[in-house]
Amino acid sequence: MDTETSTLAFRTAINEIKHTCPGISSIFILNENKQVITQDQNTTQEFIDCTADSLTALMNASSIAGGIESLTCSGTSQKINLTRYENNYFVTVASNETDEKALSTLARVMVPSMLKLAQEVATSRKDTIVVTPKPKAPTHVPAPTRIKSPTAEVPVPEFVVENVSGISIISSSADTIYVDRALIGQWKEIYGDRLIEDATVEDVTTGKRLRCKFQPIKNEKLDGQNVVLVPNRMQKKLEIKKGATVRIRPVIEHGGKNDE
Amino acid sequence: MSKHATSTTELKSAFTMQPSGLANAEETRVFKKLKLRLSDIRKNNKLMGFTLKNSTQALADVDKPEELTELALLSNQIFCTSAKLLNACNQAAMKSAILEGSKMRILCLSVSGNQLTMFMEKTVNTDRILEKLVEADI
Repeated sequence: MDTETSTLAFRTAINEIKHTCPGISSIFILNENKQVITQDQNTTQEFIDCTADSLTALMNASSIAGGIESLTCSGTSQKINLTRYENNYFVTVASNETDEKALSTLARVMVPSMLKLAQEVATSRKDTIVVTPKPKAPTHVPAPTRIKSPTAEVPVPEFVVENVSGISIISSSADTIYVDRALIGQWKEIYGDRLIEDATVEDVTTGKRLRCKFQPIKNEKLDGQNVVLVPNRMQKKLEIKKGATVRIRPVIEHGGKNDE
Repeated sequence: MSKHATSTTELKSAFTMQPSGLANAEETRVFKKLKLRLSDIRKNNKLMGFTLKNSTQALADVDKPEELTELALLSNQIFCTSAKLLNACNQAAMKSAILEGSKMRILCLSVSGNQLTMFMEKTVNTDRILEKLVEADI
C-alpha cells in the first residue's frame, strides 16, 4: 500500500475518533521509525519529538515485558495513551474525564479498519489499472470495454453537513459543494487521469441523491474535519440540514456516459 | 527463595536515590502502609512482583530475583517517560501509568513521594488492585 493511501486512512481514522471523543486534545500516529504519519491540528512538533524520544528509550528497557503494546500515563487532569498497531504507534492526549474504554475500543477498531480498507482500495486499484486501457491522447475516448467500476469496491466516505459560510457564500454557486482536499486527493489516487467534474451527495438516511459541482474546502479550519459544505438550496432539495450525514461519490465520465 | 517469599532488597544499583538524605514524615508513613498492604495484595492477586521506593528506601519482591535489575530499570524508565510526556502536556505530576507488553502488565503509581510498581499477568484486574490499595486508607 502506498504511503499516501495509508496516510489518508489514518487521517480519516483520527478525525472520526476525535469527533466521537471530544475530550481528546491531541492525536497523532508515529511509524516504526518514530516519524509522524498523521497528526491533528493541535499537536505540536515539540510534543511529537518528545514522544518519539521517550518511546525509543522505553522500548529499549521494555524487552523484559515483551515490548510495548500500550502505555497510559495519567496526570492531574490529562492522560496520554500510546497504543501499538502493527508497526505504528497511535498516540492520544485526552482529559481524565474521557471514557478510556470507549477511546481504546474506538482506536482498536477504527485504526486497523481504516488501514485494512486502505489496503483493499490499493489492491483493487492495482487490479483496475491492469484492465484499464491507458489513453494515448487527451481527446482519446476510453475503449468501450466496460472496466470493473472501482466505486463498487471503494468505500464511500461519510461526511457531516455544514452550511456554506464566510467568503464561500459569496463566491460559490448554489450547486457547488466544498469537500476535504484529502477526498479529492483520494479520488485522484483511485481514478488516476479519469475526468471527475461532478460529484453526488447522498443522504444516508433517505438515500436521496443530488448531482453537483465540487471544490476543495477553502477554510483551513474545516479542512480535514470530515465535513462537507452544502449550499442551503441543495440542503432543501435533499431535505437535509446542518449536522446530517451524507455520502459523497465522484461522478466518473465513461466515454460520454456517467458512472456514479 | 520460595516463589512468594518477600525479600526486602536494597536496590542501590537499580534505583537512583535522591541526594537529599531524609525522606519527609509523610513519605515514610505512606511507604510503611504500602509495604503492609502490598504483601497482602501480592498473595491474593497473582502479582509477579512489585517494587516500591522513595527518596531513602527501596523494597522489592519479585518471583524471579534474577530479573529484578531489569524490572527495576523498566520501572524507572516508565516513571521517567511518563513524567516527561506529562510535563510536555503541562501536567505537574504523574498519578499513574500502565504499560502493557506481550508478557506482562505493569502498573506504576506515584503516592506521596513513593514510586510503586506492580508487575502482573495480563489477566489480572488492575481496578481490583487499585481498590485494595485505596482500602489501605493511604
